[in-house]
Amino acid sequence: MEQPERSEDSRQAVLDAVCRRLWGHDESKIRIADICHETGLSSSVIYNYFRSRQGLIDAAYLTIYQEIAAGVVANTREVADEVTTNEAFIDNLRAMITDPARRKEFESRRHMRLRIATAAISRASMQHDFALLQHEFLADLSGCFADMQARGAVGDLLSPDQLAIMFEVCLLMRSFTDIAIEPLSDEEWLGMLEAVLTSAHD
Amino acid sequence: MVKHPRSDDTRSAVLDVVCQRLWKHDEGLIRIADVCSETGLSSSVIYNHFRSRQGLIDAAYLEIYREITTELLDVFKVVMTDADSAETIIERLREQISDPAHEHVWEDRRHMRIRVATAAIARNSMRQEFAVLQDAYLRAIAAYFTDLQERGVVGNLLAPDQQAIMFESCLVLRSFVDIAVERVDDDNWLGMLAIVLGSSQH
Repeated sequence: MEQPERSEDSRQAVLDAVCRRLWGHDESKIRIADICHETGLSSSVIYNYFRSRQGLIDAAYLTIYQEIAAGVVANTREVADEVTTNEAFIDNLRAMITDPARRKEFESRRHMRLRIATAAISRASMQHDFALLQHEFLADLSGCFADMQARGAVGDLLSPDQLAIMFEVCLLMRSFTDIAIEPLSDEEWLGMLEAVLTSAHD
Repeated sequence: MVKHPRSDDTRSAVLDVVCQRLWKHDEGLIRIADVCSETGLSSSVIYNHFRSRQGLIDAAYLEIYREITTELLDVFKVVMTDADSAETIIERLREQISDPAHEHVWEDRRHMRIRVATAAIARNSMRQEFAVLQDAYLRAIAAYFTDLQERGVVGNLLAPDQQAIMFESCLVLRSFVDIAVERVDDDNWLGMLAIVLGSSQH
């Protein structure tokens, strides 16, 4: 009875160690020897759980993605909660993203999401699980936008599903402009988001 | 006098080989030994030109990015020049992307652009040059939108450079839905793009 639980714990310990490293380093820097050292497990135990180094990295990326996606959905719900106008939604979002304590967190999250998505695009081994996560994530966002549309807080030219995709596009594209010669300011970015969200049938 | 052109030829022969490989494989699979055997050059010559394996991969990614953005600007010239309505732009774009001969070209390009951008986000060594390329590309698109806005062809809720960023985001981030559980089809996608182009101040 004790064995499966211990086995779950050690699998989790390995994943935690790899996730922490992926936040700080490129995946090419992940070494099984370091993970063995940190967790006190042998490499054969690790290969037994994840089959290969690549399998371990894939699993860690998907774990990170799931955590970030849950955070984004929770934040979107918080910002969208009970708002009845687009201005109120944008104001709430502004308050959240301009909080100096959270700025770094948001930036590193969008960069990480881009890294993981890029890995999923180029690796068949991750694609299926990533697609399921992203599907669930977009469905949750779409639910938020359906509620907001019902309250008149966003335009109706795009369906809730399309709004979710465009919102996601706006979130992720900031990574591109983070490294631009002139990065987008919060106000410029919010202005673009507002233009997308308010589009309504005439 | 003879040395310089030869040296340029060598550099570009190496880059061509690495670019070809990057289109097919993850950068993790690029081996200097393979590049040596394909070009008939010694590794010391390659390191002399690019300093390191990473320097070579960075240079190849930037070369690919330069080629793709040049090709895209040629397409946008056809799509945007003398367009008399947002619908015309969308229709011309539809012709381009729905041409069966080009289907994979578009998908491969956007996947590659995400890979290059993600590498640039993660690596200081590439960032500056990437930012310069992306800046020139976005400026060229913004110039089209400036003209189109002045002629009242597209909406003016977003400034031309914001419109250029949103347009670019829609192009590149389609990669995410390419691997989604339910892919977004061309019509759905063009509908979202039409919103970005059409948004006007009320």
